[in-house]
Parts: sequence; C-alpha cells; structure tokens
Amino acid sequence: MEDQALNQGAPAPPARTGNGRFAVFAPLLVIGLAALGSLVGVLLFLNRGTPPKRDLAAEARADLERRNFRPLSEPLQALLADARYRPIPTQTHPLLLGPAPDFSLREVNGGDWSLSQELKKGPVVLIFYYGYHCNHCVSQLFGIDQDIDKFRELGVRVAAVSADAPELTRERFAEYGAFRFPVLSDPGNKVAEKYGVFTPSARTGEEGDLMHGTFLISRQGKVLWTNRGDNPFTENRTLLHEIARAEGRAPKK
Amino acid sequence: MTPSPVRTRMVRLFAVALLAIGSKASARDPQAAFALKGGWVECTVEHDDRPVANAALVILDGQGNKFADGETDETGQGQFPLPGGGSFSVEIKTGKKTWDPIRLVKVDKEIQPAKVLLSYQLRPCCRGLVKRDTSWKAAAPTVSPSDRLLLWVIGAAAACAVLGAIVFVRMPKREKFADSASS
Repeated sequence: MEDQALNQGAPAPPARTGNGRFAVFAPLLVIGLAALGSLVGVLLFLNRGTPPKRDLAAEARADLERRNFRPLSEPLQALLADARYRPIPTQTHPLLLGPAPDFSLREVNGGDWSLSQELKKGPVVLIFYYGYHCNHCVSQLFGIDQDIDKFRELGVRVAAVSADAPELTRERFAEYGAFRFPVLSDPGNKVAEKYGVFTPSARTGEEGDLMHGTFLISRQGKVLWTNRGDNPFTENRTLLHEIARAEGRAPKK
Repeated sequence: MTPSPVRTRMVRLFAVALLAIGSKASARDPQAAFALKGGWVECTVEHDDRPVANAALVILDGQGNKFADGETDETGQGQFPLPGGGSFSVEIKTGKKTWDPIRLVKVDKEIQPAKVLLSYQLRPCCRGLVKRDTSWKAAAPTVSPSDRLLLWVIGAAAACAVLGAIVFVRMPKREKFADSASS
C-alpha cells in the first residue's frame, strides 16, 4: 500500500518495458538469427552432394527415344518380307551410283581399317558422326549397336568415322561402353570431306561445316544409298532393306 | 447436355496438340520417283504420301544446260523426254523452296536412283560455314539450381547479419537507454 502511494506520484517509466527494450534487443535478435542462418547455410553448402555427372550415353539413348527409335526385335527375314514397310529413299549426292572414295584410317584399338580391304568381305555401311561431343552426335552409333546382329546376318561391315582421336574415343568407351563395330579416327575430317559431309572453312580459326552422313557401299565399291544432314539417320530398317536388295537377298514379293 | 465452354476449349486444345504432334511425326521431306516409259521420263513428286501438284521441274542435261522445264499435274506427275547422253539432273521447286538438284543416270531400261528423298541446301557451296567444334570438351563446372538457391540464402542471411550489426552500432544512445535518460 505504501509503495502504491509512492509510485502514484512518480512518472511512469516510458521505455524500460516497452519500445526502448525492443529497440535494443530486436537488432540483436535479427543479427543472431541471420548469423545462425548463414552458419546453417554454410554447413549445408559444405555437406551438399556432388552435382550429377553428365552421362552422354543416357543422353544419346534419350535422343534415340525422341526420334522414335526402336531396336529391331523381329527376325531379319520377317523384317525384309514385310511388304507394308517402305524404305526411306536415298538422297541425291555427287557420289551416288559412283565409286566410293577409298581410304585407310586408324581404328580405336590401334589397327588400320581400309575400305577396299573390307569391301572384299562384303558391303559396307559408313557412318560419319560428329564425335563424342553431344547427345545426337553419337546417338546413331548407339542405335546401330542395338541392331548390329541384323547387319552381321546380312554380311555387312559397319564402321563409324569422326575426327575424334583414338585415345579420346577409348576414354569414352571406358566411360560409356564400346561399340561392337569399328570406330575410326579421321584427323582433320579429310575422309569426311571426300564424302561431302565436311566443308573446311576458308576463314582461319573456323573448323568448317560438318554433317551427319550415312553411306551404303556395295561390295563392288559403288555408293548405293546416302543420307546427309543435321540429324543422324536412325532408320536401320531402311539400311537393311537396301543392303538385302543390293545383295539379291530381298524376299520375292 | 451441352458441354461447358471450358471443356469444349480443352477438347479443341487437345485436338490441336494431337494434330501438331501427328504432323511433326509424319513430317518428312518430299520424295521424287523417276521411271522411264517409252523414251520419256516420268517424274512423280509426293509429300507425306500425297501428290505435290504444280511443282516446278527444270531438267538439265549432262553438261548442266537447261534441257526442259514444266510443272507437275494434280497427280504430282510431270513427263519430259530423256536427255541424250544418259545422265542428267532435275531441279524441283515446291512453293518457294528449290530443292537440291537430283543427279540421275539411265542404266539399262531404268532411271537410277528410282526414288529420291529431296534434300535442301546440302551442297557444300550452299551451306553457311559455321564453326562447329567437333572435339570433346569436359563440361564446365556448373552450379546446380539447388546449390545456387543455397548460396542465395547464405548471402541473404549474411547481408542481414551485416545490416543488423550496422543498425545496432549506429543506433542513437537516447533510444537505447531511453529509460535512464528520462529518469
């Protein structure tokens, strides 16, 4: 009671319990929370998982999916006998129906691969690809690899050519798996140029213009079918039909 | 029961999307077929299994001189006499697009190639020379979106801490100790 009486006469303390205390502690609280936040952030950053590694093989398979590529599951004879299937016609090309330029290139595994030597064993499917550089650059090779048994059944030799060095291709093989057909190194795209899929640039510092290219060469060394462009050719069935026709193994309709 | 406008619109959108997907899947370059009939060459131009009418044909002989020209009819066909020498070229124009000239040869009683997928500007002379790096490069180290978000949070928190400290240091004394000043 006595205290109450004393206090009635004194002015009420304006800031001690209100704005003043808040003004003191609010910044401290903000600083503390922010410091704690940054500490947690740094710890999370340090403990974060390593970023996912780029998987070119998976990207190439996704590219094949996008192109509606399906591995040929039917037996070869059934595929060739299907009268409903219409093979994609050849494109025009200066080499079409003429002799395929001969060449010899180094294989990934070190040996030499010569077109004229291979043609002694049978027709050849020659694929020019961009190298292990992007998904669609190599997707055709992944597609061919899935159907390679059908090509072998027809006695065809398949070879892929790019400017990649053999050492580099070996590294990619170790990373993503090797293909079951020869992969050749064409330094400077010299062979690609002969086949009209590479045009060197006249300007210094520029490499030139490269295209995807697929060539079917008869055992007589004649270019029977070609396809070039910015997209890989993934219709293996067409290649099998054309080879069977050239080899006289297409079923009579 | 009449369908609601929203549902009708959705059905239309779905139909348009299906059409777009379908047309993309079937989109392939036109084709030209050639056959030799009684000393005349019959050229048939098709696109997506439909005849291409009014396609302009220019026939060049083996030396590259203009031999004949004309247009395909409503069945996509056009005929011209076989140029002498056995080899010739056909240039086809559909709409505003002039396709790469097709080199043809008479072999026995046939024209080869009998069927051609038309290509556009694949002649090396016609393609722009652009640098297309063909060598493998290791992917540059990149910051993933989640890492980037985390870095932003850390940065923001650190900025708050610094700002808070500045505010605290620069705060006027009279506000800090308002109670003692007033007493």
